[in-house]
Amino acid sequence: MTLDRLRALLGLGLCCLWFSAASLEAQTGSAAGGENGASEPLPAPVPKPRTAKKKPVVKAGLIARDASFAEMEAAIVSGTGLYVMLDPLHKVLEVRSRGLVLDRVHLSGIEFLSHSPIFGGGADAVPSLPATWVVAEDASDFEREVIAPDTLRSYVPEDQRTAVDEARNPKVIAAHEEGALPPSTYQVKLTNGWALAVLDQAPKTSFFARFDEALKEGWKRLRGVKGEHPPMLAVAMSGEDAQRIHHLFRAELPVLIAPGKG
Amino acid sequence: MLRLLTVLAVLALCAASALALLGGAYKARPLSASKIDTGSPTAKKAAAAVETMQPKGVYVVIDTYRNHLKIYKDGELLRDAQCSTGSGTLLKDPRDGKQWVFDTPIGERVIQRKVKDPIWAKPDWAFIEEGYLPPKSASERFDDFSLGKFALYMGDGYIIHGTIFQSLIGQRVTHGCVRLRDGDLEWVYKTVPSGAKVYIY
Repeated sequence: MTLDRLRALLGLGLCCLWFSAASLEAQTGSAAGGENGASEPLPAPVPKPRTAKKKPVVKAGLIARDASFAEMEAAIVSGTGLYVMLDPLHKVLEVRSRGLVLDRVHLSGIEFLSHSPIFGGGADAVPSLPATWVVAEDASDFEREVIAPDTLRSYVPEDQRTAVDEARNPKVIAAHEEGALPPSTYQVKLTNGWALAVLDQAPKTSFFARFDEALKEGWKRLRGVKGEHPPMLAVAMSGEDAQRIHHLFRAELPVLIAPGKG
Repeated sequence: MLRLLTVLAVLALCAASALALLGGAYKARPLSASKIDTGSPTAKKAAAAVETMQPKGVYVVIDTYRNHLKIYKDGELLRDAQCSTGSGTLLKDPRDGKQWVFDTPIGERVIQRKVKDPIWAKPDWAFIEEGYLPPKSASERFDDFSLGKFALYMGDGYIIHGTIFQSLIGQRVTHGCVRLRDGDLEWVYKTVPSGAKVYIY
């Protein structure tokens, strides 16, 4: 068990004891405390368990600093691949190739997301924009249908095939339900340590939503499951649009981000 | 009883707070936009460089999600046709575990050549998919009807062609090629020259 978890468990135990004692005292104080109202002194407040939060590290090299937005696009268009352009001013995401706009998606929001403790601050990750970021891994794939014949038999030309031959054709193994669609909310890992979050609604960041998220994560940590929490650039759009562009987020796809500030 | 319930509630709250302290959560900060620099000499030069890279004349744009093939000439839309693109299916060869993924590749390609009455030399996967061993005789691989009347080759075995399964046009059902209806295919064959750019997304 790590020192962190031991400290957390100790903190949890002491917190519980302190609260139970305080609660009982408050309820029974006047009766049990004697006529003069004297009571047992409360234990000293216990410091809250704290978890160490690492400041997100942004790897240098992929975030251009001095080049203008147009220069960055000029550097990308020499290749034959697609790229994605994010324009916070007009709230659009464009799929482009050679400067040609192939598809345009309207965004309902663009936000930076930083992971931090639920109480208190935490360092905000601040990227330098404009910048060209690069997709490190394909967006989470939804399962594909699979054709996997057990054995292969000698070839029979089509005009000589019998009904038996046709019946022996391998069937498609449906790895997902018929008509399954790509996800409408997903994360794309980027090579600079950030992630691009494509969401079908604005991220929930109210106190209660954050508390709920922190609670779930705390439970995971207690069980020894460590999650990754990269700083993110979150783009919100309609679910249909998010599904439509899902297959474009393949490794090495450049994401060009127009100027903006966090 | 009330006292016990209160104690339990306080304990639960306490435990929840401690757990939340163990974890953490994302907080949002809006990205405020700035204007894109278009006036400086370097920005103008770069924008001109981007402009020169844009396709001239006739080019093809294929939307693999919505299964549409569009033909443009100098930015003007000439024709919007329904097509069929890659099914995304995965095929496994039981002999050595080799795999094929039937996706239409995204990115830029070029029409390398155009052929009337094309003959398809069926690759290994076309036999394995049906449960057959690929034939040893090359003559058994030739198929003169599956590709339809015309074919526009885009390299790496990817072709814009016709089909005998006209009713499946508009669906993701192919092995990565782009299928068109007969009328659209003939129009595309006549309009799109060799060397034309194809943008697939």
